[in-house]
Amino acid sequence: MFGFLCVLGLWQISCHTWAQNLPTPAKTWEMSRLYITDPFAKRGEMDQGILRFTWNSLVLVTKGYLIALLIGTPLGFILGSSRGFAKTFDPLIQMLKPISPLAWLPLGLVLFQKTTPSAIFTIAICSMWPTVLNTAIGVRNVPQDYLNVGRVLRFSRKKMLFKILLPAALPYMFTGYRLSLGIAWLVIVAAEMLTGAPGIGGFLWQEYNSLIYEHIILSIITIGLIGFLLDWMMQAVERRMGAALS
Amino acid sequence: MSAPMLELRGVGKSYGSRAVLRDVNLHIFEGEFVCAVGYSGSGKTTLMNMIAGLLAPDKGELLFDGTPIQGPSLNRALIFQNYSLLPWLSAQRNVELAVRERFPELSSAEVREHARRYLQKVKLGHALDRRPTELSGGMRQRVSLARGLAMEPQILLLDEPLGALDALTRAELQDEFVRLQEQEHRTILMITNDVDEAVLLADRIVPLSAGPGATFGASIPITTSRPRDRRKLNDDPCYHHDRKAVLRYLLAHGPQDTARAASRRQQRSAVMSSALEVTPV
Ligand SMILES: Nc1ncnc2c1ncn2[C@@H]1O[C@H](COP(=O)(O)OP(=O)(O)OP(=O)(O)O)[C@@H](O)[C@H]1O
Ligand SMILES: [Mg+2]
Repeated sequence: MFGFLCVLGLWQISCHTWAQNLPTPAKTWEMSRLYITDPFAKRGEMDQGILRFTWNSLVLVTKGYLIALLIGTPLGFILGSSRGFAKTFDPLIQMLKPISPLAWLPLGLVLFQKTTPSAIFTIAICSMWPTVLNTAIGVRNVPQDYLNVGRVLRFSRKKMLFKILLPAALPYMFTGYRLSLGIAWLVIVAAEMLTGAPGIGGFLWQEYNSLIYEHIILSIITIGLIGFLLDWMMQAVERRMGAALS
Repeated sequence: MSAPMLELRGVGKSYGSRAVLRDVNLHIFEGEFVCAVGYSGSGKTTLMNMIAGLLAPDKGELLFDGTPIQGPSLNRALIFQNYSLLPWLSAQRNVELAVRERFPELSSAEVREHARRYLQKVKLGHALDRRPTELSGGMRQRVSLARGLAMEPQILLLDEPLGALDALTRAELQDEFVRLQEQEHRTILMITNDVDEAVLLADRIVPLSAGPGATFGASIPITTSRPRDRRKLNDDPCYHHDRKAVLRYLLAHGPQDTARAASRRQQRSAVMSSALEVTPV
C-alpha cells in the first residue's frame, strides 16, 4: 500500500516537473471514471467500458493460450522422454523462443490474411515455450524409482504415461502453464496494438492516437492488474497441485 | 528336493570397466526365507534388480521356475530399498495400483478390499488415506511391504527393507516380519547389512563378499529354532554359532582395494575376534 502511495506521489511530482504531457492522477481519474463506473458499456466499437475491452482481450488470449498448451504439452513430453528428440530440437526451440511477438505478427497476417487468427497465432507461438520447456524438464526429472515401480508392475506404455509420468511431471507442467499465461497476456497488448482489435491493447493505441493520454494510463493500470490477477490465480492452482502431489 | 524356484548361475555384472558382481551362484527353494548379507556398495541392489528383471546380467544365467528371467514379472515382487511409493497416491491407492495389475479380474471393490486387508496386516488400517509424505519412515516401509505382499508373488524380493530406519523402528518391524512369516510362509529373498537381523529372520544366509567383484560365499543354514523371539535368542547357543559363522565370512572377505589389503585383513581379524564377543541386546 505504501508502495502505491509512493508511485502516486512520484507521478504527481513528475506531472509538474519533467513530464508536462503526463496527466495528473486526478485528471486521469476524472477522464476514466466513465469507463470504470460503467465497465461493460458499449458505446461504439472502440468506445467500450474497460472491463468489456478486457473481456475481449481475455477471450483472444484464452484461445491462443489453449492452443499453446495443447501443442506445447505433448511437445514437451516428447522432448522430455526422447534424448534424440531433445538433441535435435533444443537448439531450434532456443532460437524460436526469443523472437518477439512483433516479429511473429506480420507472418501471421501473411499466413491467415485476417487479424484475429494472426493475433491468436502470435499468442500461441510466443507463449508456448515455457510450457514446452518446463514439461520437458518435468518428464526428464521423473525419478527413476517411480519409473521402476511402473516397470516391476509391467505397466503398458499408456499406463506408464498416465499413472507415472504425467502425475510426476504435473508440478513442473503447471509452472510452465503459469509462465505461458504471463507471456500470452504480454503478447495480447502488442498484437492488438498492431491489429487495432477492440481490446485493451487496441484501446490503448487508439487513445494514444487521439491524444487522450489519461486513457493510456487507465489501460496500463488495467493491464497490470489483470496480469497480476491471472498470475495469482495460476499460482493458487499451482500450489494446490503441488500440495496434492508432493 | 525339487528344482529350485530361483537359480543364479555364474552371474556377473559390470558398470563400465568396474566389475560389481562376479560369478554369483544362488539357489532358492519354495518356502525358504533367504537373507543375503553384504557390505554397503557391494552390489546388493544391482543383484536384486537383476532378479527383478530390471537389469540384464553381463554374464551367467538367472532362472526363475526353470526359465530365464527376461524382464520384470508380477510373480517376483521387488520391495525397493527406498520404498518408492508414489507420493501423489494415498497408502491405499499405492497398494491398489499393484493389486489391480496383478489381479486384473477383480472388481474395483474387490481390489480395494484386498489392498485394505494387506494394509491391516501390516498394522496400517488407521492410515489408509494418508499420503506417503504424511507417514513416518517405518510406516512408509509398511506400505511398501503391504504392496509387495498384496501382489501374492511367488517370491518376494526385499532390498534392505529396514535399512533406512532407526534402531527401535527397525527392531519393531523385524518382529513384525517374524510374525508375518510365521503366518504366511512366503518364499523370500531379503537383503540386509545387519547380521543380527539376518539371523533372526532367515532359514539360510548367503554372505556376499565386499566389492569390487563381489560374490556369494557358501550358504550358512540357520539352526536357531523357531518361533524366534529376540529376547530369548541370547540364551540360544545355536544363535551365537550361526551369527559367528556369518561374521567370520564377512570379516574375512571385507573391502580390499589396495595393496595393504593383507595387513588390513589381519587387523580386521583382530577386530573380528572382539566383535564376536559382543552379544546383541
Ligand atoms: N547405474 C550405475 N552406474 C554405474 N555404477 C553403478 C550403478 N549403480 C550402482 N553402481 C555401482 O555399483 C556398486 C554396487 O551398487 P549397489 O547399489 O548395487 O550396491 P548396494 O550393495 O546395494 O549398496 P547399499 O548397501 O549402499 O545399498 C556401487 O559401487 C555403485 O557405485
Ligand atoms: Mg542397495
